[in-house]
Amino acid sequence: MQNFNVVNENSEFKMGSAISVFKLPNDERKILLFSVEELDDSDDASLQVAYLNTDEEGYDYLVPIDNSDTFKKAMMVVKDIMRGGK
Amino acid sequence: MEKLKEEYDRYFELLKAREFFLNILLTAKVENKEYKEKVKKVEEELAHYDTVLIEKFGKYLKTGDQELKDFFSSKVTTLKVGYTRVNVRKKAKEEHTSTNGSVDPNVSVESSNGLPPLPPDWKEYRKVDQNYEPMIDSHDAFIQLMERKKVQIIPLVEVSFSRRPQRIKKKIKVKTVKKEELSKKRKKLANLDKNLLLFHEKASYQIVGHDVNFRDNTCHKINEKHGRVCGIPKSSAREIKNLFVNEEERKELKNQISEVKVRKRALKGTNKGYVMMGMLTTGIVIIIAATIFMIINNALNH
Repeated sequence: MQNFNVVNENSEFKMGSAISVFKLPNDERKILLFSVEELDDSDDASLQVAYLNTDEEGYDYLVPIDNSDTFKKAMMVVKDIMRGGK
Repeated sequence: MEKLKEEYDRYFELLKAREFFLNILLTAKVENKEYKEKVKKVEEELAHYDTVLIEKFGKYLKTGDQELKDFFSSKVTTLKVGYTRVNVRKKAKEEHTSTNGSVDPNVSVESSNGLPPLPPDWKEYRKVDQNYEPMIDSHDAFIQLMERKKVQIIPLVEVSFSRRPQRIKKKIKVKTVKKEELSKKRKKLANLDKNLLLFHEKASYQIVGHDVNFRDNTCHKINEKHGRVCGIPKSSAREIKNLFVNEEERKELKNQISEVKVRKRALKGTNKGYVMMGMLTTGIVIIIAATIFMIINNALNH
């Protein structure tokens, strides 16, 4: 799992770390569970989910999950992963 | 206000529909599955409206809005008739109840007030009949009803949340380094955000063995607000990362070890073959040499 640079909607730069990749039932799209940390000295971080797509050259890129139902399901999965469900 | 009226109207329509279908069920001599199903559907929709009404109508009616009161009164008149009819029906049932309060479900008798006879399985309908609320004849009575429903609904919600979800069957069993320690950590992490605790539903998903391959020296645009699952301290985020990294590494190491074992076994088998072959060759050479020596020796002696 690797670290990567992210920029959020407020143009703030942060550090992302990939944690796990999963799929929801009847949905072929991959979802990446990753953490986002502030680059400053603060202790703030967050767990995030986003679609993980692959471009023609084989490189991955992130796409936000717009559908609220999908996002809710992804949150449930994250909870299950944290509890060691699989 | 108009939207409220629409919802309010629908609520009363549903109440009337329920009363109508139940009335058919109660007076039917044979079981009517079609109407049972209809009652069920109406009940389901009513349950939704109950929660809406508690929050919205309860507030509005308490403010004493005259327009809504008038609207309410026009609806109440119709509803009252329906409820009165049901109450008469209830009384008819009570007449057939024995003195100690128990009910004989096999008894089907003609009631004294001219109502049709009760169906043999009316005990079952009685359960549905209990869903009927007392007669509403004023908006105060309506508010009381709503408040009582609120009291009834809240414990139900708590019960549904207190149930623990069923775990998904594990497809792949992977032992962690120290199981107890990791489960403690995970519990601690899961408790970090209360939002996550709200989800007690069964999660169905598939972990994908995908090595994330991002382009070097790039910056990924994310919507932090929309994609945020929960907020955690940096230390916890690193713990989670290590947890998964260790598992990945351990899996890889396990594969490597098993590969080495297979190679070693194959190598051992190959060495044994060489030694055996060597010994056999040496033996054959000695035997042939001895035979030649004996033949030569015999020929010389002869």
